[in-house]
Order: sequence, then C-alpha cells, then structure tokens
Amino acid sequence: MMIRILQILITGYFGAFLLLLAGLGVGWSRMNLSPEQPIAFPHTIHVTRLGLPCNFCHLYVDKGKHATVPPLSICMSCHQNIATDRPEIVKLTGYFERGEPIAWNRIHKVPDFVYFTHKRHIKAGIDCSACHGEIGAMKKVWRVRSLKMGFCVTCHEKYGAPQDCATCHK
Amino acid sequence: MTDFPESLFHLPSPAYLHLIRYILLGATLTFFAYAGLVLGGSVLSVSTSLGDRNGKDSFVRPLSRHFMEASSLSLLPILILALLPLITVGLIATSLFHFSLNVGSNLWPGVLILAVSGSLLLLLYKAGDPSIHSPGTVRLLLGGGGTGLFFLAYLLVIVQTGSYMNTELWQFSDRPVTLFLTWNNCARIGLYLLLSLAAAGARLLQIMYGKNGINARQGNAMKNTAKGITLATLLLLPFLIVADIYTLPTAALNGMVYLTGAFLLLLPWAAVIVLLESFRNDRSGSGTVIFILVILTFPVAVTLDHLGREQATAEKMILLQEKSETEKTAPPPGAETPVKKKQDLFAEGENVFDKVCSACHRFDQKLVGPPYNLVVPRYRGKVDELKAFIRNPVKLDPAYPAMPKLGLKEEEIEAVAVFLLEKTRDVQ
Repeated sequence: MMIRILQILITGYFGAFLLLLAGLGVGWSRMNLSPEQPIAFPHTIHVTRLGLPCNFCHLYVDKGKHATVPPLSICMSCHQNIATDRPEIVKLTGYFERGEPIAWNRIHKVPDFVYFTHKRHIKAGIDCSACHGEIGAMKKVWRVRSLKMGFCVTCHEKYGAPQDCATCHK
Repeated sequence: MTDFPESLFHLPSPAYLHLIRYILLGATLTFFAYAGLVLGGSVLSVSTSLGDRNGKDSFVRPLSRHFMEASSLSLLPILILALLPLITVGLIATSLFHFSLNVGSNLWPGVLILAVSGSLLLLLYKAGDPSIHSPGTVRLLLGGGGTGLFFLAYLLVIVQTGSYMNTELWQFSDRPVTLFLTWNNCARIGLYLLLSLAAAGARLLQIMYGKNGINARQGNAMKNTAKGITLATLLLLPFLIVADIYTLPTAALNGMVYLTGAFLLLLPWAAVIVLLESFRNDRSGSGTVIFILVILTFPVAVTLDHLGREQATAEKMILLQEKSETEKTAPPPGAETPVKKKQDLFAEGENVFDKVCSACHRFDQKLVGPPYNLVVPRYRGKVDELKAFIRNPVKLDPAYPAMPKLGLKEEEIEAVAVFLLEKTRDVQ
C-alpha cells in the first residue's frame, strides 16, 4: 500500500515537471519568434544570392536610431520590372498601387526603457549578424538572439563601450 | 589548451557536411553513455573507499569493488566506446566548428589528454583491487587522480559541446569564460553528472540481482544502497532537465526540443516507478529494466543537445555549405588560369548578363539602372576601369539608385566586361 502511494506521489512529482515544461513550451510558442509576414520576403535571394548590402533597403541603419523597413518605392524601383508575375510581387504591386503601407510584423524589439540606436553600433563596426544572426541564410526571418541585458553588457565589455546605466536607460 | 594544426583540416564538402554532423551525433551518444557510466562507478567506488582507509570493513570494501565493476571499465571498451568516439568528435568538431565556423577556444586536445591519462589511472586502480586487501594510499591516489582527470575531461566535453549551440556567444570566443560559463552549461553539467551516478547505481543493482553465492544480508544491503543512490539521483533529475531547457539560448529552441525534453522526463519517471515496485516485488529482472531505462536517458539527453545545436547553427551551416560549394568550383591555388578566347568570354559574359545584370539593365532602355548604350561606351579602351566599377560599384548618377555589390567572381567580371564592351561597340 505504502509503495502504491509513493508511486502515485512520484507520478504527480514528475507530472508537475512535465506541466512546467509544457508551460515553458507554450511560453516559447507565444513569444512567436518568427511571425508570419504579409509578404514572404526572402532575404536569402536579396542578401546572399544578389549580395545587396543591408543598407540598400534599410536606408537609415547607419543614419539614425531605427534601421527602418524600406518604403515600397525602394522595392518597386527594382520590382517594377523584375519578377513581376510572381505571386508575392503581385501582392507587393497591389500594396504600392493602392498606396497602402505593408503592416510588417515586428521581430526584433528592445523594451521601451532601453535607448538603442543602430547608427552608433554600425559606426562602431558591429556586424548586423551580431544581433540579428545570419539573416542572409533565413528564408523566413526569426529572432535568434535573446536581446537581454546580459547580451548587451557582454558586448559592451568586449568592445570597451560605456557600461554605466545611463548609456542605455536614459 | 593547444590547438590542432589548421593544415590538417579542410572545409568539409557539401556532400559530407550532412554526414559528419550525424557521425558527430553518433560519437557523442556513445561517449556520453559509456564515459558517464565509468565516471559514475569510479566516483562512487573512490568515495566509498575513502570511508574505509584500512580496508577492513567487510561491507565497504566489496561495495567499492562492486561499484568499480558497475563502472564497466576495461581496456577494450574504454578504447572503443570512449576514447575512439572522443577522437572522432574532437576531429569533426575542430574541423566543423573551430576552423570552418570560427567558434574559438578549442578544448578537444586537452580533453583527449585528460581522458587518456584518467582512463589509465582508473585501469590501474581497478586492476589493483583484488590483490591488495587494504585500499592503501597509493591505490586511493590512483583512483582519486584517475577519477579527477576523467571527471575534468567529461566536464570539458559537456561545456565544449554546449558552446556550439550558444551561437550568440561565438563573437566573444576570445574570452573563454564568457563562452563556457553559462547557466545552460551549469545545468547540463549537473544533468550529466546525476545521470552518471544514476547509471552506476542502476548497473550495481543489476549486478547484485545477478550475483549468486553472496551473503544474503550483505547482498540486500548492497542492493538497497544501489537503489538509494539511483532513486535519489533520478528524483533530482527533473530539476536539471527543466533548468537545461529553460536556460537554452533562444537560437536553440524549437518544438522538437520541448518534445525531447518531455521524453527525457518520462524515462527517469518510469525507472523510479519500476524501482519502487522492486521494493514490493523483488524480481531479478527489475535491475536490468531500471538500468536500461537509465542508460537510455543518455541518448535522449544527447539528442536534445543535438537538436538545439542543429537549430542554432542551421543558418551558419547553409552559409558554410555555399562557401564550400564555391571553394569546390574555384581552381586550386597556384593553378594557371587558361587564356580564354574572346568568343568564349563573350558567351560567358552574356550568361552573366542574363542571370545578374538583366534584372536592372537593358541596352537601350532605362530600367532600374541606366541603359548600357548610354554608359558603357565611356569605358572603351578602359576595360580595367569597367571591371573595377563592376567589382566595387559607386553611385555616379543621382538619378539612379546605387548599384549593389554583386559578388561576382573575377572571371565573371572579366567576361561580362568584355561582353558589354563588345555589345556596345557600334553605339555612337
């Protein structure tokens, strides 16, 4: 009888950890590190195959706080003529003709209380892949870095960047 | 730690890249399971001996010997199941991660030295057992030293393989502390060490069930000791399994990792249930079932690591594969480039134009870029200038967007320059 009770308790004990793990899994899936996008833009073709530099489309990456998503006019400067019959380009052209901006789903975001500027990091020679991973090999972009404070501080330590709180928490 | 000489390794060809990643998995599966059993048995044997320095205790002395028997340590298995996989893992990992993907801080040469010397000392410790009644200081030193060295090798394998899935730290690989001292590595060290002790306990239990002619009271006491060790370690495992998955780097997470984690929890759960059942119904088969369930936990834990590593390095492997393909098609260094005929260059240039340039350019029409008939004639007699522009474009006309770097090979640049100049030869 005692053994039977112990076996039930043990099952509950392991079951609790299974539930905890399931909770972690649900939390991970709700983080949605790779959300669906209105247009399946392949970085593999544009970055790896064509060799376009990041700032060809993300115009303000070396000029301001935000890298910015390119305006439709940038896409259309090429896609007025290239691959115009592809379904995703037809969708793109539709947005352009309607004058409707594309509501891209954000993938990389630091909290509001963090002051982060792309310009400063690009000027310091930090490669985009340091924070964004190998985007050029991703058919669908996903977030591969934690972008938590420890990650930022380790990098600031390595490159001798300022580490006082006010640098990032203005 | 010294590094392997780089000249020994070449970038793996795309065909073998996939294969060697699975050889890497197979070798780590074998190493972790067998070396874990050796480590668990040795730790328990040496620590038991410490409690009986005179070697007089009629319970502790055989218990220590049985723990060493449970470690399954002998010359041939340690060579085939631990050291050979370790060499395989070391060579593949060095070639793939250190020279091809530039992870830095290569611990494999040190691991191998520690594992070989640890194994030798442990073999001497085990061999000395039947002939010496008292454990003696020398034997304890052999056992302690061997266990320490082997433990260190096992620990370094855990942290080194862990570093391969922590891609966000690779950029800090010049600082080994940052690369290796992570919460995930701490959790994995705990997980594998507990598993090692559980495996040794379960193996001892299996041995005790099979022993005949042993004093029944002593046999029961040993069985209970083995059950106690196995039960205690298995009950602690869930904390470390959840901690391992919770601390995995973002890049290493996917649905399969969580599923494998769940399976990793089920095996020790089943082992504990069978173990408790054995207190009520002491059947000789229980020992084998418990041991199989515990030893199977190793491959599942290693598979979890493998899935995380595959997920975290997926993009890097794609880039490596492309790099490898490019290198394969490139002529060997020092080889003379054959002088091509003009018509061959023209045909090759036309091919490059069709595949790359025609996306933005026409000869007589403005597209994304200017019409060639307008801009190429400026380069007549200045083929090197045209090649330099194609190689490294600069924005010349504010009316057009900047031309991107195309990443063409040198022979492609030459061919397309010849093609463009030839095609615009008659333009006024």
